[in-house]
Formats: sequence, C-alpha cells, structure tokens
Amino acid sequence: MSWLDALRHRARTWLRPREFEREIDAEMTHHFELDGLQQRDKTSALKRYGNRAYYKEERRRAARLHLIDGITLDTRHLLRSVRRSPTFAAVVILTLAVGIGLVTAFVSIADHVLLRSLPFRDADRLMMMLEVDPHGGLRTPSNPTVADWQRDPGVARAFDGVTYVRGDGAQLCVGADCENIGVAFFAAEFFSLLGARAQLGRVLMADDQKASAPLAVISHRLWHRRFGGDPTIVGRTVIVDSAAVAIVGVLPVGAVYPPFADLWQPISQYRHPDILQQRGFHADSRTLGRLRVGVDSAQAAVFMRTVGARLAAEYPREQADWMPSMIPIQRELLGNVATMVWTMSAAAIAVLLLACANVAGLLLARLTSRGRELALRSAIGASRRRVVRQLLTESLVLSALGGAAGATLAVWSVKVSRSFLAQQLPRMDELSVDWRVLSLAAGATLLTALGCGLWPAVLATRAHGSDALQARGIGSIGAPAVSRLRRVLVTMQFALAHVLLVCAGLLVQSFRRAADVDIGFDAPGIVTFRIRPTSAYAQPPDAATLYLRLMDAAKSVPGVVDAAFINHAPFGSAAITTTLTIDGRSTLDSSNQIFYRTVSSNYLSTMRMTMRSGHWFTDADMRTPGGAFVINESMARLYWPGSSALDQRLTVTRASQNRKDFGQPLTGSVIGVVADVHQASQDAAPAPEVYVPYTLETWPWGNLIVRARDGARSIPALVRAVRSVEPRLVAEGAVGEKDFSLMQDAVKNTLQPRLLSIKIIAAFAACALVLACIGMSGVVAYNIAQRTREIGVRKALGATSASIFVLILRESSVIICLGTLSGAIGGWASARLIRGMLFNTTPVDVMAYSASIAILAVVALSATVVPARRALKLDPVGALRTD
Amino acid sequence: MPKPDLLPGTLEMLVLRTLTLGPLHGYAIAQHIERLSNDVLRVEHGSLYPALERLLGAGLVTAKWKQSPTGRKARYYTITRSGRKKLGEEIAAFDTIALAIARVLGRAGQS
Repeated sequence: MSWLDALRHRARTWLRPREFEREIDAEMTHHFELDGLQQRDKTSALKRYGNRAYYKEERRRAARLHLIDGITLDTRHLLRSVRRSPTFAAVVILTLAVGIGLVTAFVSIADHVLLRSLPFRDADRLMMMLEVDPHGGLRTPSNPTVADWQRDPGVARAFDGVTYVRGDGAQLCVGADCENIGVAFFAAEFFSLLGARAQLGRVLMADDQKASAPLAVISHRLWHRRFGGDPTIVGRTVIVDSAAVAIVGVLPVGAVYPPFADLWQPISQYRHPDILQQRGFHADSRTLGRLRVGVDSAQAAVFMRTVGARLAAEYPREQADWMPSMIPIQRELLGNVATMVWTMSAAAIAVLLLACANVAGLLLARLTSRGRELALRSAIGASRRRVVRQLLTESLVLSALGGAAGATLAVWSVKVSRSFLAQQLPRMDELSVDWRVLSLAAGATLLTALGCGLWPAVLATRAHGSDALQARGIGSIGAPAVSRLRRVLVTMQFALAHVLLVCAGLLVQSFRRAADVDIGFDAPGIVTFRIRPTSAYAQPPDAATLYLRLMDAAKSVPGVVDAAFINHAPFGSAAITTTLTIDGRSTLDSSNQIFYRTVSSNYLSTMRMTMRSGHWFTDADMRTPGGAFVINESMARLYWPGSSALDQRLTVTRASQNRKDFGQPLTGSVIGVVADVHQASQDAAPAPEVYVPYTLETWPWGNLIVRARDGARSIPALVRAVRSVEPRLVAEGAVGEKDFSLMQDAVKNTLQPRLLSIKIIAAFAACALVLACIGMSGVVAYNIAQRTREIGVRKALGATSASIFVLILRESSVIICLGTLSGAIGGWASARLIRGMLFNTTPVDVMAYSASIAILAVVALSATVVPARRALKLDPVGALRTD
Repeated sequence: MPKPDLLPGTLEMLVLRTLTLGPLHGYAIAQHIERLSNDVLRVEHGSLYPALERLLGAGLVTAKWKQSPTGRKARYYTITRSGRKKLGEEIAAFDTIALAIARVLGRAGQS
C-alpha cells in the first residue's frame, strides 16, 4: 500500500517537525562520519556533499514542510494581529458563534419536531379517521361504523386496513405504588397496521387476542418512568385495575399511538364490551387507517364518501350528516407546533445571515485598514497566491474558532431547551443534537469562511500594489466600492433586525390581549382535584355518595370557602360533547358541538361565575333533577339570536359512554343563561355549553373544585381530607398529589406557548440588534477614520463639535431610515406568515410598529454616538499630521 | 572529464535500482551509484537526500533507523513493492527514450 506508507511518513513529518529536523541532521552527521572514514579528507567531503544548507532546505521542500511553515507563519501573523486588536477577533468569533449556534440549535429542534418521521413504518400514510358534519363538527367514529368500513370493498381499495382502538384510564400498581395511566385496547391488526416494532420483547399480534392470560405492551416512557428501564421487564406481571397483566414487550421511544396510551391490551380485555356495540360518537377512541401505496388522501376520501353516504342512509339516527374524513397522524401528534418551529427557524436563519453579513463587514473593514500592509507584502515579492492564502488562513482560523464556539453553544442550548420546552412541545425528551446537525454547523462555518475570506482576499489582491502604496489616507483598496458595500450590509442588518422586532412586538401585543381576556370566573384560589374512583364505585349511587362526601370533607378543611363538583373542569385536559335537539326545529339546526357539564348546585358560587339571565340550579333541582338546564351565553346567542333563551325546550343526550343509558335523551327547558367561561385557553373563543345537575347523570369520574383563601397552602390539608374519605383515591407520594392542581396555573399554562415564542423571537431580535449595532459602529468608525484629515481641517477652520456630529450623523441616519423602512415592509410581510400566532392583533398594529421603530432608532443612534465621540475629541493638529 | 548533468528524475531511478539489492543507508547508496557508474555519475551527495525524501513522500521507499555493522545508528532505506513496480516502468520509459535519442543521433545499432 504505497499511499499508506506515504501517508504514514507525511503524518510523522508534519506532526513532529522537530523530530524530522533532528533526524535529517543525524543522517547528515552519519554521512559525513562515514565519508571521513572512507576518504580521510575533510574538505573534499564537504565538496562532495554540496551546499548543506541548500540541500537541507530542498529536503524540507520535498517533505512539503514549507506548507506547514506557511500556515504556521500565517497563524503567527494572525495571533499577532489578534493580540493587537483582540476585540476584532472576539467580535468575529462571538458573532459566528451566535449565528451558527442558534441556527444549529433551531434546526435540530425543527428537524426533531417536524422532519424526523415518527417511529412507524411509512408514517406519512397513517391516517387518523374522523367523521365531520356540515357545521364543522368533528367526532371519532364508533366501533360498529369502523366495522362497516372494514367490510366495504371501496375502503379496502383505498386502505391497507382501518382499525379501531378503544381508550380508557386504568390504575397501574407496581407493588404498593399506584398511578393512573392511559390504556389502549386494540384489535388484532393494530400493530401490523401501525408498523411499530417492539424495542424489547414483542408486540401483540392476532393470536394474542384469544390468549386467556392478559398480556400487555408498554410505552418506552412508562418503562423508563416506572421500571427504570429494567431490561428484564419482559415477562413481569403488573396489576392493572386489580387484574394481573403480563408485560410481553416495550415499544421504542416516541412510538405512542393513541397519544394518551402508555399500555396496550387486546380489545378482548376491555371491561365494557357493550360500549363497543353502540353507534354514534365514540369519545376516548381512535380509528387508524393506513393508505395503500399509490393512493393519496384525496382519492381515499372519494371511497370514504361512498361508504359514508350508505351508512347515513342505513343508520339515520346516528350517522345522518356525518361523513368520514381523515387527517395524517403526523399532524395529530405534532399539532400546530409546525408554524412556531418554522417561524423560529426562519428567525434563526435571519440571525445567521446577519452574522455572516457582520463578519463580512468586519473582515472588509479590517482589510481596508490593512491595505497598505498587503500592498507592501506584494511589493517585496509575496505572490498573489501567498497573500490570498494568508487572508484565507486568517478567516478560516477565525471561523473555525467561531464554529467550535457555535457548536458548543448549540449543544448547550439544545440541552437547555430540552428541559425548557418539554412543557410546550411534544416528544422533547427525545431531542438531541445529532451528527447531521453538527455537520451542518461545520458546513455553515466553512461557507462563511470561504465567503467572507476569499472574496475580500480577491478584491484586495486585484488592486495594484503601487496604487495602494501611493494612496494617501488609511488604506484605500477598492475603498469606494467596499464602503458602499458595507453600508448596504449594515442597512440590510437593520432591516432584518427590524423585521424580528416587529414580529416580537406583534406577539407581545397578542399576548397582552390574550392575558387580558376575561375568562368568566375567578381563577386565583381555586384548587382542582381529579377524582378517579376505583372499581368499587362503578355503580352510579356509590359514585354519587362519594362525590358528596368528598365535597363535605373539603368544605371542613380550614381556609376552604366552598367546594363543588363538575365532570370536566375548564382548563382541564378533557371535555365531552352531547347531541342537541331543539323542539320544533330540524336536526340541521342542531349540532353535536355542545359541551356537556354535569355540576353541583354550588358550582356557580365556587367558581364566581355570573348569571346573564334566569337563575342557576337550586338544591331542589339537585334532589329531583330533570326538566331544567342552564346554558351559556354563546349557546343562547347561537340558537336564539335576538330573543330570550329562557324557557326554551331542548333535548340533549346522556354523554357518558361508560354508562348503560348512554345516548338516552334528556328533555327540559332553559332556566338560566350564564356568562361564558373560557374552557380551553384565554385565546380560544368559548364554545356553547349546557349545564345539567350532576345528580341527573352521575359521571363515572370528575373534578372536585375547591375555593380556598390560599389555594397552594391548603393542598396538604385537602390531600388528608380526601384520604380520610377514600385512601385509594390518592396514592402515596407525589404520584397521587399530581391530581391536585391550581386553576391559576392551568390558566397561565395555556399562554405558555405564546410567552415562549415571544421570549425566543425577542432573543433573536436582541441578537440581531446587537449584530446590527456592531456593524453600524464599524461603519461609523471607519468613515471617521477615513475622514480624519477632513475633520481636522474643518475643526482647524472653526467647525463646532455639533456641526461635525451632524456630519457624521447624516450618513448613519440614511442607513437607519432605509433599514427601518425596509424592515417595516418586511415586518408587515412576515406578520402575514405568523398570522396564526396573532391574537386580536392585525399585522399593522400601530403600537408594535412604533415601539420597534423607537427601540431601533435609540439603539442605532447610540451605536453611532459612541464612535462619533472619538471624532469630536479629535485634535485638529494631530489629525492633519495623520499619514 | 566533465561530469554530465543528470536528467531530472534519473537520480530517483538510480536510487530505486540500488535499493533492489537490499536495505541501505544514504552514504552506501551514494557510493554504490558512484562505483557502478565508474565515477562518471558523480552526483553531489547532498542531492541524494531530497530525492530520498521525495521517494518517501510517494511511498516508494520506507526508512528505518537500525544498528549498522560498524555499531552506529544509521537510517536504512528499503524499496517497497510499489517502488519496484515504479522502477520497472521507469526503466522501460528510459529505454524507450535512450533508444530514441540514439536513433536521432544516428547511432542506433552501432554499439
């Protein structure tokens, strides 16, 4: 292997140049010794050998050591100049580090959230099947409907298969430690359709549906959280809702479908098989479809419409108006995070561009001030190649350092954001910087080096040495062109910074408006507790007694003002809708998007909600329920616009699928209209709601709403109170106490994503502003340096400091104005891109624009003033002597 | 007798040829070349070392410090397999050129 020998030799020489020198010296000595022994004539030995110094240099040249010498020399030059102006190097390295680091961090996050496919085979063909109605209502289809789809030949042509998964909550006990987890009950073909493999053990296949002993697969996150990633987990038995279940496999990281599930069991193990026979809306379920290869969702929708129309005719009560629809599960699992991540990535790329513009500007400025040095070098014999190489080495070394610092910053910021973003973005625990992203950082570094180094280098060497030597003033290689270019670069930087500032301003306005929204109740002081009764309370009367006892126990806690019950609390994660029919109107006029709330009589006073008209439930309504509903303002406005909703008759259906009487109609009249309460977040409009007495339909689980004088401090006493009623409701340790939460936190949390995007965009805007200021200071300082003599003359002729200041200011204000103007236009354009993130704020929000223009102007002026002060202090005599 | 200049690259060829005898140090190579050419090809000894460096860099020879028979440490050069291959090519090329020159000079077939 000749190249291997060669490489080994070269590496040895290059890595240990000292040893190389020692070896060739030793070899020469040896040569002369032998020659002396043979010839006994010293002078002729020298003659025979030839010029020793020459051959030594020749040998070094043959070993290509002169290249290393050159690089060493360039580096030494660089270090010397860095020592002379450390700020320059620091600014270049920092600029690059910020640009490259941020871009790397954000590209890894974007890559992780958006681009890395889910751990399912061909995840882009997996569809979440839904049903839609003409009013825009959405529901998950029922098991019998899915069974009809499965038998339909059209569906079979579009899909490899569709399968129904039933969700449920269950108590998982490992030893004495219990917690509530999400369980998915799946049909035989589920795992093969999903295309997920087990990381450990196996997934459950068709044969396991008939297995007599209960088997289960668990999620990676449950495996880690509860079993510490125990590699011997397969074959272990755990207790799920008092039944022993054997774990046969663990799914890989991120393989979680439906998203609420941590444990998968065959549907034959489902405890309420009667629910599976009901048609209509199946909450807590998912239907998964896998599109055939070559079929897209539009083509599949055509087949689905046919079967949908057929079923609507066959089952008019449950299926009329409901047509099948689908969304990719990628969108279901990743949500609207996409807009946010893309926005952030765009901002990060803008900052990288800014950073590169800055570095280019800095290198250009430095080059012009070094023009004469380079000209001198050329004049005394440095080749063009040599000069370009020197400049290239400089920018390569600088950007290598910047790249290294950037990579460190990226690793660090990904680490920070992993914990920081875990609350806002899905699947953050799996986030890491991978090699692709790191090599991307390296690529960005190299491009920056070549772009910012090569081009100025070529520009510099194009000028004739003599021109530069003769030119007066501080360096003048291509001076007019270069300084025009630098002004353009700085203007661009201000424009970009302004775009980011405008976006940040619009987001801040949106946040302020969202935070100011009246949620319709008084959140501070409210503690919620999620009641998850054990199977001992499966019968409605038992559950009703439990809820009553829990409210009484909570009320007896010192500091507690009141306690109430609701099936699904606002700002909680769950809600249920009911089917509405209004007497004397067609079904077209009704909708399934009415939230169904079962409440106790003191719910209104505990929440401090407001009645708009009529009255709330009395205790008598609780004792003999039926015939009376309270609705919210939105519902009243939607169905009885312009007239009173009071005393209107309506029919809703029982909504708890875990009860035998699910879907039975409940008819009554409206006794009151309550002011709207925000259900999901401050920035989402309230939806129609109907309140029914909780005694009318005893919900199988629910929420205890407690108003205390100091919510957080009353939690320990509330834990004890709940435990005194039913110890099994609150497991020992932190697991059970997680079911207690402060309403105020839940309300605040809904705005967290907004706050986060503001923080990030603001951070980008600040970075951009700092970079633009560095660029501006550089331009101003350079202009002053170039006009030192002119300023000196003016001063000598009696110009005041003010007039000189105006002179300097005039130029930078052109840059600031142009930058601000084009930034405002850019801001307006990008505001349209982030429209989805705006709340009650138009893309031309006056406040956002004036604030960002003010910030920009102040910061830009201060970037001008600092170097300008130097010009004012200039001593006219000294200035005239310059050069 | 004037010493004829060597054609470029010839020295490397001579060194490779010499090394086919076995591992040798620099001085021995110089002596061998002088002796075999009856002192006609008297290269400056110093020029030998840059040539060796070029051969090392091309992977045609390798070098190792070894004890010489006289007890001193000396750097011995060994021809590699690709060195031998290269030598074969060089000799063939040289023969072609030598023959061509001889033809041009009108001396082909005389000697």
